[in-house]
Amino acid sequence: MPSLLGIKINELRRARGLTLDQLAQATESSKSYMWEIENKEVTRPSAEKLDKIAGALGVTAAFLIDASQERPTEAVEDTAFYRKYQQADPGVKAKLKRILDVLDDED
Amino acid sequence: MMKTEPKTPRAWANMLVTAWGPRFPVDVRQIAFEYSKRFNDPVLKIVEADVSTFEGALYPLRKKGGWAILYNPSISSPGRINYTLGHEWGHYLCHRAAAPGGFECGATDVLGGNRDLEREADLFSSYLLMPLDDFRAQVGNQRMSLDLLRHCADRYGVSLTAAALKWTESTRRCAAVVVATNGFVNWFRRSAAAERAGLFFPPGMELPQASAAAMGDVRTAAEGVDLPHGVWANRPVREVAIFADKYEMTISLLIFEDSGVMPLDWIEEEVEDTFERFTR
Repeated sequence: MPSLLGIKINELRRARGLTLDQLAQATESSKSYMWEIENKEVTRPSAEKLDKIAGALGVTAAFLIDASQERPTEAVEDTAFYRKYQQADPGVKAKLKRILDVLDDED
Repeated sequence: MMKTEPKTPRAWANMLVTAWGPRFPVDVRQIAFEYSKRFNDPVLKIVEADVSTFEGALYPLRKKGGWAILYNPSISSPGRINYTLGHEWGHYLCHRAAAPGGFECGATDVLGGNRDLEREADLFSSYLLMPLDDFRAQVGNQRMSLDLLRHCADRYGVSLTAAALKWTESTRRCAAVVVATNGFVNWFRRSAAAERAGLFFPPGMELPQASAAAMGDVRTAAEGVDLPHGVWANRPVREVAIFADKYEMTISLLIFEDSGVMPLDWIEEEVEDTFERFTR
């Protein structure tokens, strides 16, 4: 399971139509290093590297770091078994909860 | 009436397959609605939830006193949807008793403790949709090819990947499935014979340059390409490569045909415990 930072970088890269090779070149990294950032469970890129990645993706490093800290920490009362919970962001939870409330109320 | 309920995901799946008979693809919806009626907290709704990055979930409907299965209709293929429904139905059967109020828990439980449950739900789905005996009967002694794999995926209403994984589990040959993104291995699954042979493709390993997956030649896909000793392992191999460009992913079916066939009784057969059996 990749890190949340890895998932965020992967999503942004593909949304911008960049290949892994292109992102590696733009950030002066090897392709295998960029692959590890996107796919490994634990990756700790240096601040300098994170700046370069953020720059290539058109976001700030702070945005990427926020993404990596976006972990579900609150008690989620109406939640049972999320599939791939780790990848679900709070917005997803809110949307699902609205659907669920409707289902529970309708006849 | 059932005297005792199955205790494991696999026993649950086997019991349902026996009760519903060999009709494929398995209609998870119908089974979930009909079978759960016997419980006082049945599955009441199975509905689409088109929310990006989400695959599926099982939720309690507290006011109604039952459960809802939500799934994302935009997941790429119908096969994936079937698998997801099977997965959530597996959570219902195997795990809801342990968490009647749902997961009211913090990050540790959700991120750490949940993995075994996810694995169990996957196992349940795999055995419900693709019973091992039927899968073995479909493949028989035929040479594995993209067409044969597609036939299995169609029969069971699952993705090619799910069918390929079932194949590694069912085959007596030395074989493996290697999934890679952007030319690097993400994970692999091997047959019992391959495990015995010590074959291993570690995550992060770069795909061998001469492999079909790395060469990207889709023309070789159907029957695969014969590769010599030293490309994938210390023995020759036939590689059938599947290219999922949308996900920047390749799936390699590796068949080490020269390594022979394992006797059937060498493959560990999980025997159903008698107390887990569906009894009337």
